[in-house]
Amino acid sequence: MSELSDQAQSLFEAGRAGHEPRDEDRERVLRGVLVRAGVVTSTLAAHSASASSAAGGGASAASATSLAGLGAKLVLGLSLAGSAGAGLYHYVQPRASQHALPSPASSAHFASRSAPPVFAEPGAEPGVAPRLSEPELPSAAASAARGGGTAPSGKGDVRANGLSEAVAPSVPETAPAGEASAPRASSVAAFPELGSLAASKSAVTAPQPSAPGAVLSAEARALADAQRALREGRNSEALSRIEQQESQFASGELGQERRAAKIVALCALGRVTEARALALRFLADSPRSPLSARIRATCASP
Amino acid sequence: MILLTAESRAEAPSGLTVAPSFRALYDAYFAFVWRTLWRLGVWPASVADAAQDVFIVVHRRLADLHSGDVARSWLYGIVVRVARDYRRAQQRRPLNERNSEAEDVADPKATAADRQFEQREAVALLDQLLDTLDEDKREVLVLVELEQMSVPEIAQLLAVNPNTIYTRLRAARADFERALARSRARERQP
Repeated sequence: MSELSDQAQSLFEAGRAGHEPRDEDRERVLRGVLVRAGVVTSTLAAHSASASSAAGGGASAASATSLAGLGAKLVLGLSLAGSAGAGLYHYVQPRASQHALPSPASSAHFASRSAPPVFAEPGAEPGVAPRLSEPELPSAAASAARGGGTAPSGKGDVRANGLSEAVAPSVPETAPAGEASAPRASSVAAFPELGSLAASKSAVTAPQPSAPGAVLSAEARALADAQRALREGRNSEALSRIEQQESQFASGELGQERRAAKIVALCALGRVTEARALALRFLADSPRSPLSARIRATCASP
Repeated sequence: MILLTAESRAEAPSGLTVAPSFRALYDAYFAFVWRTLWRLGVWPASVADAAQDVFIVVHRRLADLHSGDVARSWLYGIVVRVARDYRRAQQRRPLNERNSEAEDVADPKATAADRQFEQREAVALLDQLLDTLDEDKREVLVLVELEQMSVPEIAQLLAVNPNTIYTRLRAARADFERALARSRARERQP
């Protein structure tokens, strides 16, 4: 369905696996949210976090992640919070200089404005929140299922598949496939209506010989050929290729790159005067080009 | 359609769908939120702050998530708005703050002990190319190509006509290809 070049597609493929958070990030942000939402005070959050680490260490055989431990201490009965907060987005503007863990003062200020009072219980002991503890059980069960059912190591799979992970494993047999796997499944499977839309779209954008993308990739390929010739010492061939491309892609996207390659080719052929003239013009036209430094390093350096 | 999590499913009487709890959403979607903020151009130094903001909003607005909503779309709407705010704030800040916490946030050893060097390079290049796109094009491209969302779904969450999304997507792909071709040509320059 994608109309991207192979190169672009492989970049996006790589990108899909990139930027996974670490467990520390997960816990750090959760602590910050709890503090800012007034669920716990910052000291309480810190205490619970360390308690959870200890618990996680002791119970590692049971593959209880420290996250599950943290949850046990700080479970949120957020159906209540939901009803209390009609959620005003403007409370949460970016705080340019604020760190993930706000200072007690700022969080107290935040809480006083907006937190549901029922959750702000600074005096409460960390583990004491009986009415809120119910949701933890299924969560721990899910972690256990995760650890035992799929990958025993646990750590990697949480990261690798954070999205579907928590959704799918607990209901592998009962859930309709589309429900459980929707987030990571192909869009077409998850959204059947996309099939027809995708079809109509490709009709609109059916590749034409003169499509901009096609011209660009032809131009990029041609330039790559010339650059290869240059690297392999076939300098006159490189130059004649470049000169041919100058007319073929007169209004192309890679003019700067082509001019730079031409300067290098002229230098390699000992045509220093021509190279220098081109270099002067290049540096005047595009003084900030990333290629300028390389041009200054050639024989054509003015 | 609602995405049921272990928790909400366990809490729900048979046959009744309920909105998932905050903790269930957090566990299920933290990685998604984190990744997406990064991909939408929030600076590495600010990703943790931005993720926190997202979940504060989630926390407050949980009641707005009706059964029948797709939790991910709902969340994504919040992520997109938070990311926009951050990008705008970033424009007024010196570029050297971009990575001030990056070593901590994105230590390659920690995030990708087993990941290939090439993979990291590819992700870095991808970020660099996405940075060249306009905001609205970047959003659509990230949603389609990285999150693999459907155009109708994106149209709904951005409250924009699907045809507009298709147009943006085409333009975004063309811009991305141009940026990629330029970057490749520079790399090859002898």
